[in-house]
Amino acid sequence: MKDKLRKLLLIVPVVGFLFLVPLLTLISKIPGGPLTPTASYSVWENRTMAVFPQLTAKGFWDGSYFAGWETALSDQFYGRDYWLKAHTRYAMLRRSASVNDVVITEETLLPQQTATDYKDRDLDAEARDMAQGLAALRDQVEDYGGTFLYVGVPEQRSMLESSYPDWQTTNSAYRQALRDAFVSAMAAEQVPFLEMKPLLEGREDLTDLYSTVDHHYTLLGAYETYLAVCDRLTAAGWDFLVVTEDQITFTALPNPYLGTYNRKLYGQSPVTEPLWVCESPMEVPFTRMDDGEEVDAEVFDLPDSTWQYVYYTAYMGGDQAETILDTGREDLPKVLIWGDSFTNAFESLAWMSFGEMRSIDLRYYTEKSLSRYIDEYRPDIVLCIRDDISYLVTEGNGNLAP
Amino acid sequence: MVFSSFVFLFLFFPAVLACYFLVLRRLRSVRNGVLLLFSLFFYLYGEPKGIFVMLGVIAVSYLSAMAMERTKTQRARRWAMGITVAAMVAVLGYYKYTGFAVENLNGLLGLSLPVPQVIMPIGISFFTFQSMSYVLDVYRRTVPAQRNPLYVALYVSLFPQLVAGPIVRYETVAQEIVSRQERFDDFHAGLQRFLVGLAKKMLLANPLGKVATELFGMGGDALSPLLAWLGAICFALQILYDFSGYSDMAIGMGRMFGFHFLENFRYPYLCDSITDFWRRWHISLSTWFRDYIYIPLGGNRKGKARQLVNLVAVWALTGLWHGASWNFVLWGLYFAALLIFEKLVFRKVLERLPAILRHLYALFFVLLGWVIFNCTSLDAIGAYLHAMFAGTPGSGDGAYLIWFLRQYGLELVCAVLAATPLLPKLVAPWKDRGWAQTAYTVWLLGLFGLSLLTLANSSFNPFIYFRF
Repeated sequence: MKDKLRKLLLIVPVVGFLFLVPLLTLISKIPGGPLTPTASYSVWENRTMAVFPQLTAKGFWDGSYFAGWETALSDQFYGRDYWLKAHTRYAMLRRSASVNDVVITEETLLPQQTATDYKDRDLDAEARDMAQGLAALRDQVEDYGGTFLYVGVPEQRSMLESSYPDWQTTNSAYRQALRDAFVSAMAAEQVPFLEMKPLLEGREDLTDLYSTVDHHYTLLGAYETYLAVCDRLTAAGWDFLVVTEDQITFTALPNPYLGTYNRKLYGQSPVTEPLWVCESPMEVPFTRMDDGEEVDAEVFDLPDSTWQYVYYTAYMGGDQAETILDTGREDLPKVLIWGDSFTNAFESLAWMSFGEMRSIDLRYYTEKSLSRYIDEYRPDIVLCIRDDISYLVTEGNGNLAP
Repeated sequence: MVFSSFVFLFLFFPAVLACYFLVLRRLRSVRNGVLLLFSLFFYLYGEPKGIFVMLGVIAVSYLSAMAMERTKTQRARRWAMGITVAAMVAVLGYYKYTGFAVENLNGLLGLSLPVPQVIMPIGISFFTFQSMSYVLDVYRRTVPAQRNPLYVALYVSLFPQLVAGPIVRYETVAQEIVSRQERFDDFHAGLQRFLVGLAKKMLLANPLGKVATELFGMGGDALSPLLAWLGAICFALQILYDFSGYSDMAIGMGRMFGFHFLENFRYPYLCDSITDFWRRWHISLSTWFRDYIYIPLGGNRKGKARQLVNLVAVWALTGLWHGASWNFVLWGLYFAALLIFEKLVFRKVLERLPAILRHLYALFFVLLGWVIFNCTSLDAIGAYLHAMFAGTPGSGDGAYLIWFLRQYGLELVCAVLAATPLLPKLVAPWKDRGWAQTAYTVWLLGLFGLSLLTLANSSFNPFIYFRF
């Protein structure tokens, strides 16, 4: 009898669990039922969850219908977030080299990197092609009297590289080779280039300028970039208002901040930091259009309560295909900024200096090419802001095809 | 559908368990019907179009066996068997080797024939071999032909072993298909085995597989000797736990439903010779080739020269069975050469060597075999072997090793320990004690929980043997 009970001690929980999970999943799908269903969007993974597929004859015979079930159930089973959190906690307790591809150090969360094999790539040729494309844009802008400036900002892994444990792959040799090739090519083509990394490297505490939980800079880092850009533009003869350090006040939000990396740890990160915002030092009314639609005139998209998570998307509301911010100050220059998400925090400060600020993100903006956009808009200043990992990436914001 | 997937664990498996055990035990044919329907659905799920190929193979096997049963002359029986086996080989050849054959013809003769894109049904190597085993067993009169076509279908398509083995011989389960007992003790033992297999797959094979995939993916040219050896060791452990884990799950589930499949692995890395390795690794495949190819070809009964030819033929076929690629053929021939060398030259020397040296010898050559197996081209094999033996030490080796040990050290230690019977031997004196069994149950529950958490967290989940 004891033996049977002992065997039941295994059978009941295991078989019971195999039945319980689908049962709970099913119950959670009942509208208005007693269980909370799995959310259609995962905050932690920053993606929409897969849904169960519709049965079609084609989907059935090509196998995609059943494959869809596999994906959907993996996303929809009851209590998924708890399972994932538990696994993350287990990996953290094990003190693995990385947890969910995040390297956890005492002060910083960094991306796990694998060694990049670039021996078969001709970085010089790639850089030359990219620089020639940028030079063509420069010519286009300068031809009508505008100013073109390429701003290279270090990505967090690059800026905080020294935070990696010695035994972690950092790809520093690859990044250096990439940077050297790009800098040389830009110099050869005489493209105005502002490289932020050397300007920031001497700072005492880089973690003020660069996020410890996200791959971007902080708003303070964006402000440093803004000041450096303003210096270059004033040196080029432009006259506009620069928001100085004594005019601006940065405030740390009380909300918990979920960056790229603590998000991957399901909010269980030992490293935390606040998200910074600032008050506009001047009362400048403006209008804002996103993708042709008028929206609230805000540059910070903040939650209603202090307990809600905030994300990097708080800056300018995240990536938009096209944003037009018009202050109506005709005497100030018009600026066009294009680039990846590093532009967002920058733009939430830079708008104060310009009459009109337009921003396009070529990953999402497909209406016309960058060259045609410039041709039609004719901005006084064209800024490209890209991180140093993406210098040679020819897709998205690196797609300079006319 | 792989066993370590949510759909299998939380939909298919509970559904089949419920439907099967809700049917009264005395209604054997209904229970078999439930298993058959679920098995066909299992296959349909992974390969909707391929199911017609499998059903065709089943139909041919059934009709051929019935024809042999009803035929009086041996000559006619032989014809029936020969035609059926040829048909099975043709099916296997068409789906698995057409593209390979055309590519090689083009290369060899300078032709430019279009290479047909034939989609290979999952598990075709397994279900054709099982069908051939049935036909050959009936031909040899080892077993009578099964008169119920649904039972033949059940034998070939039984979901635990359908797509990745072990290759179950018809004689092993012939009786159990018709009349078996589903016992509580068997259900418990089967579940234990299933959980062990799941843990092997999720907790050992997948993590080590990540390292192996990364290192082999870098290619021999980019690897230092240390990393190349590490990659080979990780792959050796990955394939062991991937495949033996799957076999454990198959054997365990079979037992839960009252079937007793034969073992497929017996601590293969404890081997002390290559001959010994093949007595321990993928036993169902090596015995299949031995009984249905090697021995019918004459085995070792027709002189040394013929034996050598037989060995080379069998091992070339074994290699080719694993995939339509020259690296698999080379892998088979590599083992043929080692086995011949052992039989003719080295056996006596080997016997005199200390046990540890015998193990090291066997493991060394098995490891090299896995390099050949896992590299996709002859160039890649050459580059990888060069990295292992003549590569340049990398400046980042130490750092990578520290990273690897921090990330996967626990898995490595567990994988090495579990490749030996050390733990079972250590606990053997207490294994019948109540507390020890309770502790083992708790251990299994822990492994189950951890496997599920890992499954939830992981999308890296391919079973290596599904491609055969």
